[in-house]
Amino acid sequence: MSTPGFVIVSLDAAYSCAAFDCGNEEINTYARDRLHIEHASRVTGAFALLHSPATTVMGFYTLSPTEVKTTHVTAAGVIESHPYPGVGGALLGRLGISVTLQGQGFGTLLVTHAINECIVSPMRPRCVIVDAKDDNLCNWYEAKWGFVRLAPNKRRMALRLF
Amino acid sequence: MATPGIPRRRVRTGSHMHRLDFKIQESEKKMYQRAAEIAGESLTAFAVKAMDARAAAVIRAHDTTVLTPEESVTFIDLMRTPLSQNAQLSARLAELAAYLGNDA
Repeated sequence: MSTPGFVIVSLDAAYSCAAFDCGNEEINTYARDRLHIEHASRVTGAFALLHSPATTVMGFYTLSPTEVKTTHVTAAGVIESHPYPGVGGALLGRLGISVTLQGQGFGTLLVTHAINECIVSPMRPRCVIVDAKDDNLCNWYEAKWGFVRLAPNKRRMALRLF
Repeated sequence: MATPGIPRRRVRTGSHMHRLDFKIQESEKKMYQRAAEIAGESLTAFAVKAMDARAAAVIRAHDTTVLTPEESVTFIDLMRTPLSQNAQLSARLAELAAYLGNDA
């Protein structure tokens, strides 16, 4: 599938996340304790980066369908949802790359893979939503794929697909 | 064996009804029993309704991204303007296709 032996595949129960380390404890804990459970129970769909034929997870991302609801401030100053249905999107929830592979373009590869999964999905999400962890990542999402920051003081971003 | 105090969940597969089985403190059971009596329901019906409401709320929250009014303005603008060519995205997708040996 890929030239240097790295593959990105749907998570399988046989793949090990037990020693996953991306340098971020929150994401490490998620990968070790929750990733398999949430994938198996379809809370989210996870894809894993493996160095084939090894089945150790070297990176991962999660995608889940999301309905993007917009809100506005009423004349009375109350925030309320617009009554019409939201926009069908995909949420790029979690992303992690093993510390041993960082700085080699695997993050870019995983995010692009996630976007491509959305494009080819029969559900045809109209946008990808991501909550970037910091401003550097906001700049990264913007420069690499054209994600748009939805508010200057927030790090929620959207990429329109359709 | 279940660990004392930790809810034990046993689910039988099949087309018929399933069973949930877990342990709670006596004080909790007394309170739920009292609430169920006030509501005029069996404890089972009361528990199922409570779980049902919570499950629906959790799933709805998980499956929905609610934007702030400020974010909404940008988002609506983004979705309403005619879809233009995204050069960065096209470049990344081409890189992915090349990396995956045109499998992408």
